[in-house]
Amino acid sequence: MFRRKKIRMELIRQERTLRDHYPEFTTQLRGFRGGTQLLVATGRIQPTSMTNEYWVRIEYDGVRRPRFLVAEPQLAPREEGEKIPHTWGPNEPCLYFKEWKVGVSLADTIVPWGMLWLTFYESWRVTGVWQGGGVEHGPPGGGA
Amino acid sequence: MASLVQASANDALDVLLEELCFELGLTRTQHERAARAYQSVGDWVSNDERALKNLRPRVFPHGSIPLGTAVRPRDTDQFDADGVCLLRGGNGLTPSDAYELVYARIAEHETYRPRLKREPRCIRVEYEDAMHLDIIPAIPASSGILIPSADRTRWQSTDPEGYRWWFDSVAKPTRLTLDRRAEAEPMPQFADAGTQPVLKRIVQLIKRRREVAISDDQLKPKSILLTTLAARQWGRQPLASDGLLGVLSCLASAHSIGSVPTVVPNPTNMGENLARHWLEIPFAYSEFTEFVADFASRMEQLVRLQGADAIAKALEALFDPSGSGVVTMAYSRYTERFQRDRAGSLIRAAGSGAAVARAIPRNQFFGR
Repeated sequence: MFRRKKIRMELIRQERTLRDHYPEFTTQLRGFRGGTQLLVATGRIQPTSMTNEYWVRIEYDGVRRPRFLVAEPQLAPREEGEKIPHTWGPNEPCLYFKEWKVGVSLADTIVPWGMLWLTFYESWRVTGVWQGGGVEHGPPGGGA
Repeated sequence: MASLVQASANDALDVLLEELCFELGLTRTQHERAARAYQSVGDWVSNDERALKNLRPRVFPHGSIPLGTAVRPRDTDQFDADGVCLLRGGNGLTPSDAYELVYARIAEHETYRPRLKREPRCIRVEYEDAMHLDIIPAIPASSGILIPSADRTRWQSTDPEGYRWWFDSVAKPTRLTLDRRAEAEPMPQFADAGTQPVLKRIVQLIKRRREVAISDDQLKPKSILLTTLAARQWGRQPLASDGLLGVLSCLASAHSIGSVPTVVPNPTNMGENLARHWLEIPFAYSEFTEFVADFASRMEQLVRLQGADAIAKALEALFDPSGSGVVTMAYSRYTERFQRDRAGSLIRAAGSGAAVARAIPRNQFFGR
């Protein structure tokens, strides 16, 4: 119970910071039966004047790693069946290795890292080369 | 809307165009080969101890390389270095005499002799890999110089140094230096990406588009005409994207489809009409008006595009329809600069209405 309250305080703090830095974002704090809570922030971003505008969604439950999801336009590989570099799934970029931990502001990290990722993603689509650096995943089955 | 903010003043598209111009210009190797060829022949001619000595030759470069507007040849096109051999003491000479004297001197050198070719006005030295050097003999005039007519029976006045001075004064008004050596002025150094003035990049893009869009050599507008028109119409916008669009819009208005050709005087020789082929060659002017209208409309669309895919595709259609890869290279170089700026903390993040753009902590992308 106490832990749930602590998490809620953290999510409220994160929500407030997101609204301060990105007032155009819509945020929501949802509670579920069983006690889990979820902060959801959605908004449109345009990383640079040459990139597309993207509808993105940030989800954070205060326990597991925050998620940065790209709703629209959908992320697409260069060829059918190809995997986009540095993603957890078809619409979920992977933005950091160990640089984020609980308590660090999402507004300062996840949102700008997402914008950087999208810039490199668009470039990768043209050149076929990921120029944003990063850490490769371990061998298959080897855990994150 | 939330976006990234870069410390440099340049717009993203402008940086991309800068890198594209770097890919469209001569490579460092080509430039240095041209400079070396010009320097060797220039030194040989100006150091003659016999026939030319009393004529006090002075050799200087002219054409697109010293102007900074050269474009790399596509496929099997030749690229050339151009020089003038001014015989300062040659006022009594006929064009034919001046030509033969310079030809004879170059032919004295056993390396150049087998490579020599007579062109109407100039002496050509041919090199491997699609390069040649053209040296044109000249004598002094009251302003500028006199060069042979195409049939070498008359002298014609021109002023390539004056033109270069004029063009540079428009392109980079605050940094005007004329590096004049006594006998053989060297070619300027190779220019790295990001160091070329905006106007020169605009001229490169127009010349490249000309090569792509007009295949008939007779109908192609001459480089000096395009260079002069661009310099006259440039509104001093600091970005190549805006500047090119501005030049094209002005040209499209001034030379609208169906209008009558105008005279375009050489700014250093007002009696010379740089656009005389509009009057002399059928369809040359209508080809020009269509070229400009089409280019302007495509550029207007380009600056409004969003998304790397769409922008790369539009740039390829404009400047590299045969898909040689220059656009992809330019994108790659642009992204490299972006990555360097990110590593140097020169990129910040801002929400709409944010008073201050925030620094971005370092991260490493992960996932597979």
